[in-house]
Amino acid sequence: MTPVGMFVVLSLAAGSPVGSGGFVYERESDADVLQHAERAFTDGTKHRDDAATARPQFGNAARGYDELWRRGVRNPALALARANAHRLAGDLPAAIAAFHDGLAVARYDRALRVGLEAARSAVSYPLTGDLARQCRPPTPATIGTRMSPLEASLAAWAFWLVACVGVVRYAMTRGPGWLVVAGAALNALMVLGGLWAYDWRQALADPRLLLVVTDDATLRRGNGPTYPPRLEPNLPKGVEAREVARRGGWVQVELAGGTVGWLPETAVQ
Amino acid sequence: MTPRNAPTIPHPSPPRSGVFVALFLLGTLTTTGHGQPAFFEPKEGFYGARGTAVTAAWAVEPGTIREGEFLTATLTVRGATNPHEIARPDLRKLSAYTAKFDPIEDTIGPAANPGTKEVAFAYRLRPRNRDVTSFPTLTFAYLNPAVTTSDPFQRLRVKWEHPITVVVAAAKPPPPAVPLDASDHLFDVPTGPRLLVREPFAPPPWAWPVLAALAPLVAGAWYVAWRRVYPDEARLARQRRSVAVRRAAAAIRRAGKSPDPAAGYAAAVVGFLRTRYALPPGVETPAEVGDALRAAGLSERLVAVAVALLRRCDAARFAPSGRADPSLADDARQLVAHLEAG
Repeated sequence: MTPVGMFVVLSLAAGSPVGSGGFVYERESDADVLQHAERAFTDGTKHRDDAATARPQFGNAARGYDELWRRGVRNPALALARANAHRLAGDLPAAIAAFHDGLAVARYDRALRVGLEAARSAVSYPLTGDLARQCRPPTPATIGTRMSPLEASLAAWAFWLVACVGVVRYAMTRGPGWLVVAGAALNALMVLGGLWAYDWRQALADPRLLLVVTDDATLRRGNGPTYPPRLEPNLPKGVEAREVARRGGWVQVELAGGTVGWLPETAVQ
Repeated sequence: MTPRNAPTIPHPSPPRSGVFVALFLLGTLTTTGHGQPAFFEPKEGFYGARGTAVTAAWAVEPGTIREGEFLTATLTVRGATNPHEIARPDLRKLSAYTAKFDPIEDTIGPAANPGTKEVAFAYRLRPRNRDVTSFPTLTFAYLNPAVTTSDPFQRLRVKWEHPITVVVAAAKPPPPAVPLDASDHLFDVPTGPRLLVREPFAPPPWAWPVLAALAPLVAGAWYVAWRRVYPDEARLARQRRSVAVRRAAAAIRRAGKSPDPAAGYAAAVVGFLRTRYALPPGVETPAEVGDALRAAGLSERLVAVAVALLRRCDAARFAPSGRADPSLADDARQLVAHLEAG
């Protein structure tokens, strides 16, 4: 698993090879699957004034995008289309999971970041109590979420080039200002390297699987329905949690606020 | 209390006529508002109407309705002497009606005409299904005070002769469409072949050392180019000398084809010396050139060679024969080359 891939979440829909109307994706090429998905998305958009008609279309589009993802097509553009299709189909947990899938391969993608935050804001936390504070994960602000590796490489090379040119220019003109320029560029290069090293460590800090609550569920103190609740209000759909352990059809999770409890396996994905 | 030893007095048995008296008294005490003992009233169909010529009739409309719709039935009672005392028949308690209609609701009927002895009761009824084809008959009894010889209660069978037709209900209009509650940006998703890219682009590992080495190479190449465009003083002098030698050689070559070759040789040599040793302006004659070369630090031997060559050129220019010495060109070239090398 790659460092960024540690955020990969399970997706139930992604495992289904059959689309709507008995359309078997297994026999279709990637391009055909994409064409079906895009057509369904377009049809859904045309019927956006009628949610009852549009949602199934977006559901079909989501299944097509899921199939492509299952086949190993992993890029931020597909992740965004997939997540939006799930969101428009009314499946908020699947949308959040799709955003995480996309960010696992492209942490720097701004559209995915914005989409994930928007999806998180749609989770129905109760207005009272501190459940939202317990469940809402913090927004990462490391450099890896702002710059792609390519952009960082180009920036580092630019700083290094400026440093070399500064030295050469000093050799040409004997002006001390060029040495200052070269030193500043080297400093910037070191800062950039330090930020990337910190980002790398943060990405490796928590390798536990990320789960998304798919149905309102009570976080309990033990792995059984007879255990008392850990938190009084139910966890709403879309809450993210880290998996700690599994036992007897129950999964122990840790919320972003540090609360640990048990949820039925059927209530998470 | 009777004493135990007191003689008992037997009660006489009441006479049979006393039963009728008791019933009469009971009936008198429990008469209804109609002035009739309640136990004499019919158990069904009597709603308190009195009169000698009471009539009742149903009016049901519409005759044809769609499934699920209501019809209105109005019962009008005429000829009663007590229209305001007649109770509304409760159709909900009559199985003949509840079997065919559900629900049955009371509603306000048409207002009675003043002065007429009539009262109307209206109902809203919904047929249970399309099998309802007729309206049930209502038994309506009334008390006729004119009848004294037999049962004073007259019974009417109130019918509605017209058929009722319940047709298939019209298709329900679809529920109003509810727009999808979502932001516009959700509908704007990327499309096209870029969605099929297997993984996002990332620089390969070898790119890092290549880029790291490329920067100093670029800077070094810039420095080399700069030194070529802007050479230092020594190289600049060498370049200048080289240019002066080339110019002198070209001038000697051109002088050989001119009408006065000796003058051309002398001019080429002096021009070279002027460039090479920075002779002051106005130095033209062999003696002046010799002095200037000595002042520039040239050896006496070379000064003598240069001055001798210039004198030979002057001699050749002003000789009576007018023929130039063919060795002057070679001697001039050798002098320039010698001075350049030395």
